[in-house]
Amino acid sequence: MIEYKYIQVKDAIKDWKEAIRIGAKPLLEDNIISDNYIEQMINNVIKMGPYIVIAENIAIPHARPEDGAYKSAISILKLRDKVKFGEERQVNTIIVLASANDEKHIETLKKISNVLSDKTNYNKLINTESVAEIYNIWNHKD
Amino acid sequence: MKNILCVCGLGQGSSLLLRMNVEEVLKEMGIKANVDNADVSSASSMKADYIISNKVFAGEIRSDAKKIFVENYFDKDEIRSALSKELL
Repeated sequence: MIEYKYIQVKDAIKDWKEAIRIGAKPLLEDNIISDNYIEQMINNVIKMGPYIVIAENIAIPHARPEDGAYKSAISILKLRDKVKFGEERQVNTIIVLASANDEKHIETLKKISNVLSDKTNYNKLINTESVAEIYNIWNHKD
Repeated sequence: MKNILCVCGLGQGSSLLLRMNVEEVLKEMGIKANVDNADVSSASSMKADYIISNKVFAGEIRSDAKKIFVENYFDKDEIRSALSKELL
């Protein structure tokens, strides 16, 4: 469900914009999204606020398919130091969602929902600093 | 049947995630409702009895629907208690 090379663990970074750019880089390199898609993910937060923080510690930046998502996929960036999204929310787990107009988009969202609705997985994900562990959480057959 | 609308910025990602969990919680609660999702600008012109969203959008949703705000989209207990307060 997620490729090993799409998972990154990093130390402190400058701000949430950089978090989105770094988090999205593996998808950009694999031609899954365009530069414009990344900029639109950032613009959406500037325009509409940090609504992409959908749980404690977790943000799912995304934009529209027409902004430049060629396939549906996710990449994950874990930060050892939290980064601020807006005034109130702190995040250490960024799940970049490349949402294309395909069936896999729904499948991807279902997977995110299944993984994060499970409190054990959710806690593991927000507390881990291990790429291998994140990979296992995501590719565990349930 | 009640109409419930899950709302986010683009109507693309987070509102769909929220909708999945709202539908599941409603099923567990034995409540039948029409659940849909939309972006914040279309939401204001759509027919709904309840709008469920992030409080970031509290000031932007112009609708007579009863608004319910959820912090953690994956916490079914939070969704359940928010829904039962309003729907039961």
